[in-house]
Amino acid sequence: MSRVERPAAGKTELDQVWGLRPHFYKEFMADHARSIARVDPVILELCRLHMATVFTSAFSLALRYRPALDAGLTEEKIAAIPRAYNSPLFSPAERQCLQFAEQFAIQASSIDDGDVKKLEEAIGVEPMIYLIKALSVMDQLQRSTVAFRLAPPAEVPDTLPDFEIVKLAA
Amino acid sequence: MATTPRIPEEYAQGFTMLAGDQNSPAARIAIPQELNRLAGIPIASARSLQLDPVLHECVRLFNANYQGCEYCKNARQAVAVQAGLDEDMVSKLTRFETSDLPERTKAALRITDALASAPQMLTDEIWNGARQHFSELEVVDLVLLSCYTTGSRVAIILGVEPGKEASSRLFYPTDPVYGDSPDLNAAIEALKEGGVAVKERGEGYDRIPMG
Repeated sequence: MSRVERPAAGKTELDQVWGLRPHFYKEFMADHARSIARVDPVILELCRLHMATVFTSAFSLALRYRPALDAGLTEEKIAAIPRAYNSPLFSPAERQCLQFAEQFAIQASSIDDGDVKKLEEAIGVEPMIYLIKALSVMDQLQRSTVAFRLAPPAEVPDTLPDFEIVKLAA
Repeated sequence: MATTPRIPEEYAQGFTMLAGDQNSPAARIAIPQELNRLAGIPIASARSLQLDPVLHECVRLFNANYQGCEYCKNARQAVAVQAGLDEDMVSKLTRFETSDLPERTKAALRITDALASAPQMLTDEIWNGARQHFSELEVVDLVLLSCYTTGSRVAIILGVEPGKEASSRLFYPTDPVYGDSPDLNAAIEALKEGGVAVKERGEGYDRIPMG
């Protein structure tokens, strides 16, 4: 149960809390959707879940980005994210993106010329610009889910149409 | 530009609004326009966050300092200045805990500070402390605004943050950076009806000397 005692009506706690400011919610989530759609789906999902782990966002960890699953991302690989730097499951570009996402979430001000250069060399300049914008909106959303203590959703919010609830093996 | 761009000039131009050719790389990346459009949202209005403008500006400026955005640090929302924000107050934001700022402001900034560092640091003590000064809806607004005003990191990381010379002035909601959406126009009309002085579009800037 979230920290907010008098939420709005809504399918999930995200809808109920952010829905207290419906216009802001709608505008922000439209930008969120536009921003994440421009990034390679597997890289995006690896970074999103890594950031969610850093922030301990139970809400975000309960979701999976369907385009990434469709592109072949497996739960085995997701489980290996903490060991990505040594795991053969990850490409050099994926490792570089994960390292950057972690730095973005923990201390973005420490990102320097060399970090940006390495990321650009790994994925190219335009994908890098889009990835950084996507990291920003995912970071903003995840920080709020932790601040509000949003529970893992039983249903997918309508504002995250490309996501599904995680299905883990028993 | 205050910082050295970390992306090629043909992309960086998009952030300084110099992209003329709609097919250019700068125009293709829609990020500058997206950041500007979102910047227009949180003006206190019926369809947005509804914190009082002075508190809103304190939160924004605290994050501007935390993120190191010179452009954001040297801008002031005219609505907040008209409502009583002064430079003495602004100078105390970074060391707010030991300042003589009102307890209400400190309670709000504790939320912003925690969220900027790590969201897990927003403890029950901080949340409940804020609830002694604010309604629950206002605390929700404080969280949303605190998260939202970290967005300047995109420009900072890409090395395209425009720098303090590009701001250093009062920003009216009619400023071109906010765009010209029907929602913004409705908010501007509401501000005017509430007695707030809002410059008409194209009336020019009020430059103010700042750090």
